Amino acid sequence: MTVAQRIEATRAFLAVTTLIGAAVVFVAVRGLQPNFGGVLPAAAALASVWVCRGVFVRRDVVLWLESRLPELRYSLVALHEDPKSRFRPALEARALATDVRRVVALAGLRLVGVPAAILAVTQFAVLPFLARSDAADGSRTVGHDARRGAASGRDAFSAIIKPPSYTRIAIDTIDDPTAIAALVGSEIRFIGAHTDRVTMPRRPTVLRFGAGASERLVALEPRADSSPHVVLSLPARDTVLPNASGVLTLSASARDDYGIASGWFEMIVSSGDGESFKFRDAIIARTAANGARDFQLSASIRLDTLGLRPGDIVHLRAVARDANPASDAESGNSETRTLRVYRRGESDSVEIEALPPPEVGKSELSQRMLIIMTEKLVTQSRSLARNAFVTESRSIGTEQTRLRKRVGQIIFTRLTGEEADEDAVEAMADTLSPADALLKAASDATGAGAANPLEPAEGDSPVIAVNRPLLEAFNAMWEAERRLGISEPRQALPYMRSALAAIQRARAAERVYLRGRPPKIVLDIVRIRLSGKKDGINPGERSPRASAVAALLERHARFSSALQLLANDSASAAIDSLTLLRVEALTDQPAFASALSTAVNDLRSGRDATLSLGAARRALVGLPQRGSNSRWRGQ
Amino acid sequence: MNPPVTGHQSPVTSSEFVWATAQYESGDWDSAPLVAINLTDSVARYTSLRVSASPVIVSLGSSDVLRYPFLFLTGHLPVRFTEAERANVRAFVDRGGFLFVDDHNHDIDGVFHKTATEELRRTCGAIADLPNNHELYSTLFRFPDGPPTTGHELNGWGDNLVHKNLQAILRNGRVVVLYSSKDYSSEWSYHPENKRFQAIDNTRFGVNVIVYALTR
Amino acid sequence: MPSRVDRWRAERALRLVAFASLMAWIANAARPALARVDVATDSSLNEALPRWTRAANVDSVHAQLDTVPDAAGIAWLGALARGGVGMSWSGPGIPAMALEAFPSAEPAGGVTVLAGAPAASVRVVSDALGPLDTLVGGPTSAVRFASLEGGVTFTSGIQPARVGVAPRGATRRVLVTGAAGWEAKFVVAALEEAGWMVDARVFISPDHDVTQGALAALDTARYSAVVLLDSAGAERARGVERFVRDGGGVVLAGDAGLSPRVASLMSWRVLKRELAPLGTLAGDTSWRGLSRLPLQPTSPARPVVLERRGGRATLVARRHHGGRVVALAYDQTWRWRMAGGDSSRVEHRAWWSRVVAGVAFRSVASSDVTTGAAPLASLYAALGPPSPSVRALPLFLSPSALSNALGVLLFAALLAEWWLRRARGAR
Repeated sequence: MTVAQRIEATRAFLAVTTLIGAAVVFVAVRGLQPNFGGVLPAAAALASVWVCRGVFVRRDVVLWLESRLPELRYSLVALHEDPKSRFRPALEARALATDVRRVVALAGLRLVGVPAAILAVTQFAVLPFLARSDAADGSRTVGHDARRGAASGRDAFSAIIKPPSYTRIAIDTIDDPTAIAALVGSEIRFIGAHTDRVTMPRRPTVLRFGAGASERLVALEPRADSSPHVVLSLPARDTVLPNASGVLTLSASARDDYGIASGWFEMIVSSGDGESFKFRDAIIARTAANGARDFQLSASIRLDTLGLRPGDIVHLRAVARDANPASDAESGNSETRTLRVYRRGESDSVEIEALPPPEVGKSELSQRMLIIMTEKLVTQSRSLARNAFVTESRSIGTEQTRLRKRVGQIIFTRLTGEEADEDAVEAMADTLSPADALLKAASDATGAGAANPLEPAEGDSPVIAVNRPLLEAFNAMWEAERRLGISEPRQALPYMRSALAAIQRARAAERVYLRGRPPKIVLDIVRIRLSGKKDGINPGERSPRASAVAALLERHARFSSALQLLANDSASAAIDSLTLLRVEALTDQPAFASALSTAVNDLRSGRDATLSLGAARRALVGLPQRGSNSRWRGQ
Repeated sequence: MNPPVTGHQSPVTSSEFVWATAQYESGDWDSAPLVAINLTDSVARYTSLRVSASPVIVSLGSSDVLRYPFLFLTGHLPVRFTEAERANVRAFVDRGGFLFVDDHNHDIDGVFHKTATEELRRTCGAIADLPNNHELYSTLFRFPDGPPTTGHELNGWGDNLVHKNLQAILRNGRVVVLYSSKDYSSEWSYHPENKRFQAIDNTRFGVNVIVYALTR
Repeated sequence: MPSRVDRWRAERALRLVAFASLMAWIANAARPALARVDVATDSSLNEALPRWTRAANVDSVHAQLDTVPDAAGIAWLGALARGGVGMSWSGPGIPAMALEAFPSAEPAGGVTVLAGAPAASVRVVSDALGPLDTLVGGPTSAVRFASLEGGVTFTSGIQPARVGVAPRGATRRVLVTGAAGWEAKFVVAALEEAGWMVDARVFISPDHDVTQGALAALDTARYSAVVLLDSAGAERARGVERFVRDGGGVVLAGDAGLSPRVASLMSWRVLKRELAPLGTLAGDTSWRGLSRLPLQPTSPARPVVLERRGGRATLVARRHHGGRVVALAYDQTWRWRMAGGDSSRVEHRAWWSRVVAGVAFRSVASSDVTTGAAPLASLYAALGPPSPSVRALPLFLSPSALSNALGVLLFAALLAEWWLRRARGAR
């Protein structure tokens, strides 16, 4: 490399580092005060170049090298001023022998390093300090965020968003916000030209700041905290247990977007069959998750501790509670596993209802009701006045009589196949032995003359066997009503309970389990058509359904109005209208809302929004539909 | 006059009303086998609606539920939908189906009630009391006092075991899920021929529900 | 230094040139007067029109067009022609195209655009907001747009056609009648959800109906259309024929066409019911619900077959005096809505709404075919058929220019010859 080349290389290196340093100065100053746009940063960068302008001049570079390297002894200057000097070889030899690299490298480092240091100080010390002081006193705008609006400095304001603490998400700041998307429940504080403090609502809404021409709209777009997703891995599927013993392992996993508070297993044990069931529920292995986003849950159950019997059913599922402390926060549930304890005969018999309707069922509950009333009367016997006590006791007795007669009618009907006639009614009013009287009346009605028609003979159908407990209930009711009639409710109670038990036996006897296919009830629609009593038929008028397109039409009309505002050069009014429309559409037309967002941004930035508005319209009303080239205009 | 039909008309392809009972995984869905035929009988007795004499049982986990816009669900045991059942119920309701759920227990806030209402709320939306002057109570017969009490309810004897209202999930003002705690499953569980023993047919309200589903 | 011989030869040549110029000048003067045709192209037409109008010595004009001028331009050209100016035009590159747009009768609105242009060209439909759709395929297209801003512009290449859209008249109510059942329920639901105002009568028993609305006699003042869902509905509907005659519309669904009451409205017959094969999905548009009663057009007044499935007509339409009749073969479209898929509810609703809109009474007058709707046809109508393109002579070949040039040449040749003679010393 000749001396000239060396000088040129040095000059080029210093020039490049100067320019890099100027660029860094630009970035540093711009980051410090974004509201001035690019003017001040550009000026600062130019100033830094101006200060170091000597690097672009060859003579200045030579003089600088001479000042830094005395050992050159002005050889470079001499060569620069008189390239054809007769002392050239000697001068070049001295110049080439001097090592300039260290000096030049240090100079380059200074040219880049000083601006870099300035940038680091502004980013990591000055700006955070300014942000904290703004958050404390709210008196100044914060301008470190890259999201900037087009507002003038006078109207500048910022939004500080603090998500709910359980999410452990950092505070965020948006300068000159037009839309804020955040979790429901986030605290939002506005500082600067407009101050306010709100909480992110559940539904999208729009805040208005200022008035008239300087009104600013800010859309609030809530993000919902989804409920945890829970998977029950053990037991893996529904099971039939041969017996209720052994250990059942439970295992589940839960996942949430922000955190889980706790998890547990939920168990419901159902015992019984037919119409009578008992239920027990329990929470197993409730465990705190401490806000973890992924959570594993496990437990084991000794089945023999559950007191399960054949036929019992256990429902199991895993539940995870969201860390969101809101009272209406949804828990996440897994699918439910069903464990059944095997009961012999369950799978090979078919339950049918082959008999007339269980009117006794109504009798049972009415009898239960009377028992409750009587027990209540007994407990109040000391506090009630005598007259009231007697009146109430007789009133219950009257009800018991009514019920007894109803049971009697059922017995009579089942024995005779006919409604209770006068003889039967009179028999039931017999004061000595109404049961015998009833049976005699039934016998007379059928002409059977059987001594004891209730004894089931071999091969008799179960219909006969049903009536024995009914007759027992009939007799017990008779005894009970006699005692109620003489104001002895305490003595009536055992008979009343006996009657209830008899009714329950009668109902149980009605559920006949037979092997083989059950007889199917076949309806003859033609025969029964319109045979019902028409009294009381009075159809009311139908009310119309709501239109599903009314909201769409209204939204379309508003969109068209906004376009009209644009056509009339009312851009800011159009932007506000479109912003409001966008917020309303966030819930039910997210595609339209998203397309509107693009269009609004284009309009704010002064770009041509024709394409984006066209896309928004397509999202609102759908794509064109091709039809046939039919002569039929309607299609 | 109906046109001649080619081929056998199965419930799948005919347009008659078919009572469909929902079979679900978690409980005793078949606890009221007579309700279907009894109510079918009632529809034929009081109306000239085309009705199938053969009620069907349809699995809630199968998309076959969408073939039957009226679905009846009952039981005593806890109701816990599987994912497939939940998806089908949601689609069923979204598209216009009518789901009638009846608690076969005669109690207050029991296990069936708690679990079924929770599943319905998660699947279809908020469930609330249906006002007793709703048009459901006047679609065919008039029930000015709201839902008729059942024989299994204790009529206000200090224990408040009478459910004064039915509950419903509405969509645009229309009942899409009707929930009953009144145990109509027991009330209507009898052979259709035994209607003659009743002074007033207690299945009339069931016919109202069906007519509502078919006309609203 | 040129010799005397050279000068002499040059003199002779100049005399020859002068003679030839004189002969040419005489011939130019003697030739018949050429017609003065002023030609304007697309770009110069706006400037040429007022000039043609003001200039007194314009014999004829020719518009050499690549695109059809706007209505004002066509009118001006026509006025010039009628005013005695020889008007001709040519436009070999102008495509033949036509455009029509009319509003839908559906409550949700919408516009149907019918457009025709050569298939080879790039065809775009636009409105005030910009391009809406690019048409491909055959030369004619029918496209339905849910929304349009301003008028419609249809462009074929560089040639636009423009029409406005007439305002949609007020939508009247729709009457739906038939036996109570799923089809009645879901058809009424679909129409109401689509925004139609529905009066309904569904039959529960011989003595009882469920009704909605103040049911009145069928009259076009109250109803746009009536939907007869089945033969029961058709049997009980009174005054349908008069209603259609007066401009109303009727939809005959399912087996409604079997009722004698509507026989006068039909030019087809209803065939036996067909069921979809096992495994067919309810949303299959071939079936729209798994069963249908196909329609067989009868002669001589054959209906317009709007839809065929499996070789059978399933949707037919015809006009009956002032009104319209549409018949559907489908009788279980509710299955399509329930079991057809995620979008079936919306599709079912849109389909029924379009069917009813197709017959709905409308009081809106047809939009006039404006000048912009068929540009080339408008040009023909105003100016007559085109002429072959005129090739204007270059200016320098015009008679006056030639006469002047030949005169100058003659003079110059004579002058040069005189100067050479004088230079030679001759006189």
